[in-house]
Amino acid sequence: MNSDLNNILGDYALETRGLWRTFGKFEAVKGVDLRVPKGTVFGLLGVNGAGKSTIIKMAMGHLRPTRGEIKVLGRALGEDLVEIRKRVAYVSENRYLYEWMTVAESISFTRAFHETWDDGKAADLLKRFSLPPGKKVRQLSRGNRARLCLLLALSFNPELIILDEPTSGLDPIVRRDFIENIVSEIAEEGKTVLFSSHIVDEVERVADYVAIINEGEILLVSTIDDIKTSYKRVRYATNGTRPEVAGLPGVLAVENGRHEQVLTVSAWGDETLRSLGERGVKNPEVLPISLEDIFVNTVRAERERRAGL
Amino acid sequence: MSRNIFKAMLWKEWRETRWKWLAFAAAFHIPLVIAALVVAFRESARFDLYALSDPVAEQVFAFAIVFQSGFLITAGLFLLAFFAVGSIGAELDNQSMFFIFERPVKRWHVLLFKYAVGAVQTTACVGVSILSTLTAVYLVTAAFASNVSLAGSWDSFVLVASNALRGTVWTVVVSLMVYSATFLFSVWFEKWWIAVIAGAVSLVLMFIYLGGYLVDWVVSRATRATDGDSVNLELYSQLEFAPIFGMLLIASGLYFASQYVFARKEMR
Repeated sequence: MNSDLNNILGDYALETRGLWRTFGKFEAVKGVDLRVPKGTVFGLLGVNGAGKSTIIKMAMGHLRPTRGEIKVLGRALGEDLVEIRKRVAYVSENRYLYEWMTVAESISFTRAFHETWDDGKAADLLKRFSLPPGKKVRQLSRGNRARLCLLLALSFNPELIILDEPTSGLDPIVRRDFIENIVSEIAEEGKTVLFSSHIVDEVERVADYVAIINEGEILLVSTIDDIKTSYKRVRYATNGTRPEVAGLPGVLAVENGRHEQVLTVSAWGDETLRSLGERGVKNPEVLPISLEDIFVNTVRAERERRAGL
Repeated sequence: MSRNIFKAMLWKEWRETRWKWLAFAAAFHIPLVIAALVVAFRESARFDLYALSDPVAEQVFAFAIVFQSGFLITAGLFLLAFFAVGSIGAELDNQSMFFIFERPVKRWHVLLFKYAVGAVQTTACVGVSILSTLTAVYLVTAAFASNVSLAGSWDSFVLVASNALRGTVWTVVVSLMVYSATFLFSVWFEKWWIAVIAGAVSLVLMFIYLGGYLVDWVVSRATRATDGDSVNLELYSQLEFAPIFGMLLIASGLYFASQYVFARKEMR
């Protein structure tokens, strides 16, 4: 994984600039700039209705941007959609399949569309996923439908795999297998994976990069490691008087206990430590922070900012 | 669209529509066979085939021609909604079409393919219906009439055959035009039932606007002799270029309108 090198060279699997999309008066996506480096696992994280699927559908050419640019594998989306689709696999949230086809027929039908189809890989995945070839799609469980979609997406060796809410509706065991094993394996092959989810835990498990989206805007884009380095929870005793920390730069959330205060800080460093000291905070304890805490506090802070609180 | 994709799409269409074909064949031909048998076994239906060349038989033919043409133009066209909406509207409605759109294939190729397959289905069904009706009538008549004489019935056979071919061409062209209108609506509206209603309304409007001309072109004008109301059966075997070309032009326009709407359609 050469994400740093990719950043320098500007070699992105997906790149959007000033992407907007409105539905009537509703602004679903507002000026999104996104760069997905090649060879990485990139998680789009946001609550339902945040705009994740709209961004993905625009990237796949299913929706037209109101304005803005999209490049997929170095090609502008309007140039040659067919050429892009030869190299990009997309598994939508709704997992579109023909219900009347059997698993084997679905594979055979999809095979006809892809010159790069790998029969050996398809057979391997069929065996690994324990999919019954003679069973009709309508008889498959949600988990097996998801697996079949993934088989169809991976068997033509795409360079970029886009998964829109891939674990939606799956039970926890299938979900974990999907995320931890399958997505990780795809990434190990050097392919780029862009997946959207509202489940923080699964993004945290496999993603190299994460973008937090709220109400059509990107609030945060970074590597998971960088986020965890800069975002911290800080706990300290208040001893009856609570220090004034509301104006402190980077403070996303303040939790008040009976004898302590806990801050969620977005840019932890010496400067924050010094500022806290100036406000009378003594011996602050830096606590580990989960991506869920970061996500919740970032979204909440943005909502409060908009509400003028 | 590569050969492999074409073959795969053709296979899918066949698998999805084969029961429609069977249902159509059964719905149309079973009553036809029953009616033919009932008529054939009636004593009054057993007439001298040689008499078909008589002026009395010509009057019977005139009635049959008008009835057959009118029936096929109206009732037969209801089949079109069945095939036009089923060919693409249902796939857009249940969003299974997304499966194809996620593949490396041009959208307009997909629509052209669907249009062509649906057009072949509808025109084949309408055409085969006419031919099989006439074939059944002729076979039953020949089988149960007395005094069968090839020399005596040849002229009437030629009239029946030419009438059948002409009626087939006319009805196929009209059906193609109406199919194209219904196809446009099924692309336009995502809900199949809206497309059916819109298709039916367009069909009615087309008949209100063109109805007199259509009947004139297909039936009256060619079958009326210059001396008045008597039927000129020889003229009935003729086809007129202008209205047929006009209807094909309308069908093409409706097809391109479908492509225009489809190209701008978003998959939400």
